[in-house]
Amino acid sequence: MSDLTPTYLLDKNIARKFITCLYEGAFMDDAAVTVLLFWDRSHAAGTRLLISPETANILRRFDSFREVHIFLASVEVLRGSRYFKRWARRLRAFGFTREDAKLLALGAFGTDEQGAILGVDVIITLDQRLMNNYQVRLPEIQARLSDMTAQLPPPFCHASLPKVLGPEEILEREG
Amino acid sequence: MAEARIGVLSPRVREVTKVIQGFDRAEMLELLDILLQQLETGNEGGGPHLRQQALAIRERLLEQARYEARPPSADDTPFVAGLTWGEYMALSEEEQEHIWNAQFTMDIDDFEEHDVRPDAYIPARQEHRP
Repeated sequence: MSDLTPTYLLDKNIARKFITCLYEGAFMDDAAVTVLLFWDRSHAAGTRLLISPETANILRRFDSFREVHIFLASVEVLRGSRYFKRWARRLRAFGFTREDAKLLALGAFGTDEQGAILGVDVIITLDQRLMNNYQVRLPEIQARLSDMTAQLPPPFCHASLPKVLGPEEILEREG
Repeated sequence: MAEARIGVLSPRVREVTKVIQGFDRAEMLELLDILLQQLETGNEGGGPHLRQQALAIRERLLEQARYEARPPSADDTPFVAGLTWGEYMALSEEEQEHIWNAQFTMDIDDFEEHDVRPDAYIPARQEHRP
């Protein structure tokens, strides 16, 4: 896997939407259509799709469902790295929910099975409120991250913030 | 005349036609305005076309699962929150999301922290580089 391979962290509702649209077929809603097209194009482009350890733990209980199995076979797990918890707690101070703080913290302080990456390019979510709050508070969040990472050893001192986008924005960017 | 044409319309347009038969002139004009806006923004046909693509992807994935001898999921198999797979799938979008989100209860401190290689690649940093 090339270092330049794009990395997307999928939030828990992207996983849910993918699984339910495989079940629903012709009855899938517009958001499900977008998620499936996003997944397919990302997969075809060789993008690394990652999920949180919590999403993985829940889905693995249902791996016997073929819809869940198809999804799990296409993703990797992004585990918390050192300083994940510290950053997640600081994000809570910006008004993010516990769920949002865990997701955003993994986006900057998450790593793969090999410990070969730190954070991801983009967090993919259907949560417009999360996207808006992140975008509005981004300068403050960036300043807070810089304060924290200034004290950390490499590679953590280089940790950066991911983008937070909806799947439709990825489709638009990639044409 | 409208009655005569209904037979050649797509099922979705037929459904809409039934609804708008009760519209007054002002409502018809509002609807016309929306349709013209949709046409101008290039949405005509895009929705159904993307849906067809999504359905083709779904078929491909399920065909692959059949090839791997994975049978269809049974509706009466237990899934989340005491519901079966079929019961969960029959819920509204809002109910599905609510129940799904309730499964995620891990506290921040429950997460393990793992080592990272000193030469780890930092994707977001590379993307933001001028």
